[in-house]
Amino acid sequence: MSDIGFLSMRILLVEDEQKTGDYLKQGLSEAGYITDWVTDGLSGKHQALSEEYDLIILDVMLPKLDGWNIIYDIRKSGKTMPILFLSARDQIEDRVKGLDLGADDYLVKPFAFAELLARIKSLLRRGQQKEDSNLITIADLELDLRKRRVTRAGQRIDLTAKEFALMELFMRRRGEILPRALIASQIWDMNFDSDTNVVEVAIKRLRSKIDSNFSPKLIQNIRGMGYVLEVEDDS
Amino acid sequence: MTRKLFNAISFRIAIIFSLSTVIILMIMGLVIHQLVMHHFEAQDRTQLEGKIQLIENLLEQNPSNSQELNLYLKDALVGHHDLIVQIERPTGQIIFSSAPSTIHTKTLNKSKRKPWVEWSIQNKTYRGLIYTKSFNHQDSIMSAQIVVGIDTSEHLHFLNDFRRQLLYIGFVGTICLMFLGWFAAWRGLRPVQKMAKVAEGISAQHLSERLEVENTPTELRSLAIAFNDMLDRLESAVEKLSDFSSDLAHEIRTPINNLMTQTQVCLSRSRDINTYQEVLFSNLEEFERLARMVSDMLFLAKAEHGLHLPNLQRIDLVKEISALFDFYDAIASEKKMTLEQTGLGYVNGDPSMLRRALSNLLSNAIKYGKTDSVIKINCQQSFDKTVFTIENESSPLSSDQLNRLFDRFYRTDASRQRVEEGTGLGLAITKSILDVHGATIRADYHNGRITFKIIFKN
Repeated sequence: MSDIGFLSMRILLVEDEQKTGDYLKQGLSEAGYITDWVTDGLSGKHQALSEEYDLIILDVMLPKLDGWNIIYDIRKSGKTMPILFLSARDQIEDRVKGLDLGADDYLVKPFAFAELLARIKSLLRRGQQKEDSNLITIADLELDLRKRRVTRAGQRIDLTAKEFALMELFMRRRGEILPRALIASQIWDMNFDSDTNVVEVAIKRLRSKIDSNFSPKLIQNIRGMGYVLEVEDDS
Repeated sequence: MTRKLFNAISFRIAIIFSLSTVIILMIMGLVIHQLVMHHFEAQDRTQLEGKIQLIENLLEQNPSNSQELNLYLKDALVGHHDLIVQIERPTGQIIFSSAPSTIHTKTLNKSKRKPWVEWSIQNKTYRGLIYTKSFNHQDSIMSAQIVVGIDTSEHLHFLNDFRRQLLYIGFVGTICLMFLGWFAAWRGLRPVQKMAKVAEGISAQHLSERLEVENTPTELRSLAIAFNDMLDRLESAVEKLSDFSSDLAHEIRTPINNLMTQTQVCLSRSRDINTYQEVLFSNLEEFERLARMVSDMLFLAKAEHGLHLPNLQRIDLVKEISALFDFYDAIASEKKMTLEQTGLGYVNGDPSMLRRALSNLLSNAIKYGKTDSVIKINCQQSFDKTVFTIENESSPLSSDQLNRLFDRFYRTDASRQRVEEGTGLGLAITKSILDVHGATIRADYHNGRITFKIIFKN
């Protein structure tokens, strides 16, 4: 689950709610990030301006100084690290305001922790070199983007267009846990919580094609979080 | 303050009322005044003409003897102090005069009212007639001009008094009528005040109060009816809202109860790590359901506040349906269901919202449809509307159940509750999205198939 490329990344978490802060810090640390947590707006701003962070997670409603002001001051000081907003308010105006002020992403509470991790990774990946090759491989599986062809252990596997897109998404974001909602939105453009287990079924089919007759298993189901593509370490 | 006064209906009515009264009284006064004047004139004329007749006779009897004539004339004028008579020859010689001074007939003003002439002597105003009389006397023609006048001062005096009294009565009358008008308007508007009283007593808790329509004046009846209709609508909306709140409380209470009990049972003694994981996982499912419910509820609340459609586009339904089929294909084939689409149609709408609405319908059809059956979607485009239908095999539903399908948290079968992991808000969301798009949806059950029909107006 850990990803060497992202290790030693520093994240500042500004969150006044004790429980939320606690679990976010724990979750982020366990995901391999060095996380500093402050509980009010003023120290959040001070910390953000005086130290170097790779990413800032900001609650909107904060004591002493709200998230809007912090982001304004950070951007005014010329710092360009990605900033991710957390808010319980789901108004389009809020979203637009945050993004206008210079936030890079916006998550509405309650959110899935896997979703937060996925967004963080995608924000941190920004600006980094993308793999531009037409051929992506993991273990003995090969994905040829140009020919739209998948082979495993030299054996050709037939995938539908959506299955191919799904496979490509997993390959590009290997090692990341992808929540079901994110997969539905990326592959089928379903940008709302669909309450069906459609994604599960689709992934089950994909796994039966690429994993069932092969070893090691590549797509794992992380219960309650989502799916991840990686080579099984043990067992 | 003045503005408020001018805005008052009773004040306006009083003003209009008194203005019209003033006009009517003025006209009446003028007419009466005129009539009285005419009456006096006629009276004067009769009197003067009588005298002229008398004088003529006397002249005829005594054409030459002015001494005798004088005597007779004086006799005739006894007791008529207000009368003056002057008789003169054409030569200008005055035969007789009872006037205090000579009347110069040549200079007399012709009155506007014929045949009167008017003059004044010693502050007295006279009105009179001039009459030229010729008669035969001993083969020679004699002629004389007779001037008879009557003192009109008394009449004028009376008329002045009369005018003053008319004005006075008119003024007092106008003021009285103004107050009367105001009072009448105030009395007449009492039903409005009553309505206001009733309206004051209405609050969310007391929405059952209604205005009395039977005894309301005709003019206010339509207002009262409209007001009552509004209350009806409000009452049913509030009722729905409170039903909804209690439903919501119930819907939330159940998962919370599960979470609490499960966690407490789990904590009651120490267990192995797998059991803990199992409990946490099951909790997570409940939490996710709760989170979904909250965001669905928020969506509905927003839709009810008149959601605006920022991203209105022309949408090809066939494309949209094939995208949905793409998504649901896997799960449908798990249930051995076939998805079928016919026809074509275009609508204007917000793509992601419309997708959500249609996706709920399709997801329901798969969830509640029978295994190994066909789900049929059909679009029909005509010049003024686009019709979208989706049908699937289903267990029978009563018309009451069909009507309630779009209610929040409504489930056709209580025992089915929570078996499928829906929030019970899917169709309510679909309906509210369609409402925002100005489209209608209805459900029908026929021959073992349930059909949802959406009509988009173009």
